[in-house]
Amino acid sequence: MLLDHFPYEIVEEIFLYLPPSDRISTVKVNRWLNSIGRSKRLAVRHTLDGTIASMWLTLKTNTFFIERTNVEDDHPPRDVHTVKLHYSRYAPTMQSPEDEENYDIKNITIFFETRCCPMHYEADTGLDSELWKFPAKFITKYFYTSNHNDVYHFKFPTLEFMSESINIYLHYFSNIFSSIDFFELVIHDSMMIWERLGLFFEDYETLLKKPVIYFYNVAFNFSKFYWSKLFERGKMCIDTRIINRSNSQITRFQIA
Amino acid sequence: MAADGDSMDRIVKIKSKDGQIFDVTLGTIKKSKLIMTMLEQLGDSTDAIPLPNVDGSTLKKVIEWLEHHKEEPEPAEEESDPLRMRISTDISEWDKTFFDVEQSVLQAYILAANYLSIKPLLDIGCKTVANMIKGKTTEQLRDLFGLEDDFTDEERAAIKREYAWADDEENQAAA
Repeated sequence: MLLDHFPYEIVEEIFLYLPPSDRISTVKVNRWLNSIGRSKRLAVRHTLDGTIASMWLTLKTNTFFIERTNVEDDHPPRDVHTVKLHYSRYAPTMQSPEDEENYDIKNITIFFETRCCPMHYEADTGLDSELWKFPAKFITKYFYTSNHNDVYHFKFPTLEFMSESINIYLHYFSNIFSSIDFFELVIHDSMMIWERLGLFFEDYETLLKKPVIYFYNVAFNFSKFYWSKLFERGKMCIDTRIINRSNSQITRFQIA
Repeated sequence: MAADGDSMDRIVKIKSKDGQIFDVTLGTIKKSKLIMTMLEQLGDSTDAIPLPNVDGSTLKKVIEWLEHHKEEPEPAEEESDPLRMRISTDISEWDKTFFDVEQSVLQAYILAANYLSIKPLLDIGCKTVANMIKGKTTEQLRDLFGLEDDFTDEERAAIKREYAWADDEENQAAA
């Protein structure tokens, strides 16, 4: 009852609220639910077809000092935030990067950046700014029609807009890959951006292998990470490093 | 159709499949795209709009839900993206109580929301079912929904191979 009385589109709606592990448990219930996982009509199939990707996420906050070249440009130093989101995807038929014969790799890199102030944001609005909250349109326009190693830039007037966009894109990408077999997170200088990615990382369950996390010049505080499902699975370890640029000292932590 | 304050007070008659007729204001029923489309087609007719796929008891509850949510704004454009950010835990206490019903009733609400094209009601119904599924094994889901394992041995083996990439034990070994 219930699930098997619903049309495909309703079951898909339900699936889209589930993390991949629950989607897989559900399609193993019976033939009908399994057929939904295979249906080419439904977007949810991407998370069930074994499409594997690697993901790199770099979060950086710098204090920006503008040159005093024009009186109108003069303003106090501001924080400028940059997020680099990079995915590398390989095809379902290829079970590992070593399977070079079927190596259909495709890379995408998106930079999300804030400007120092509204005046400089206006002067440099970046790529197709309306796409900042429509990843499906962005992907249709660029990802499937472009070169395999393209880089795109979104620029935002505030950190709040930027964070909203990143969350939307992270969720979107988590729905077009079955799993992330490698995830590297690099945090430079501040936890400010990471703390705004809670919407995504609170229920992110796609990772299969150990995430690698680097801190550059940021106070190390595990409590900032405990709420993340990056740590939920017992099988995962976090290979974490603190790298201090001032004295090149590297400290490594292994958390079981 | 005009959507000003006066027109929102207009009374619309809707008729369930078992013949019950309900009087609702346009302001209450406006979230149903099906009914709004039918009203446009019917023009000034005061005949009851037939809803042959919804029984009276379900329609009464749907109207109760619409009445409670009538002041809420329409979903933004980005919410129509099928792969948008989705969170299943943001259900209000009122809606949790509304959907705290037997599976057959929950099913009737969801199918009615789908038929009447009331997206916010459909979304909450789907979130409720998703929350029922979360964290359960395949066998627990069969028990929960009363579904039979109708796979043959060959199909079962094929599924195991197909989802090997997600097998926890194998990946733990590989990690």
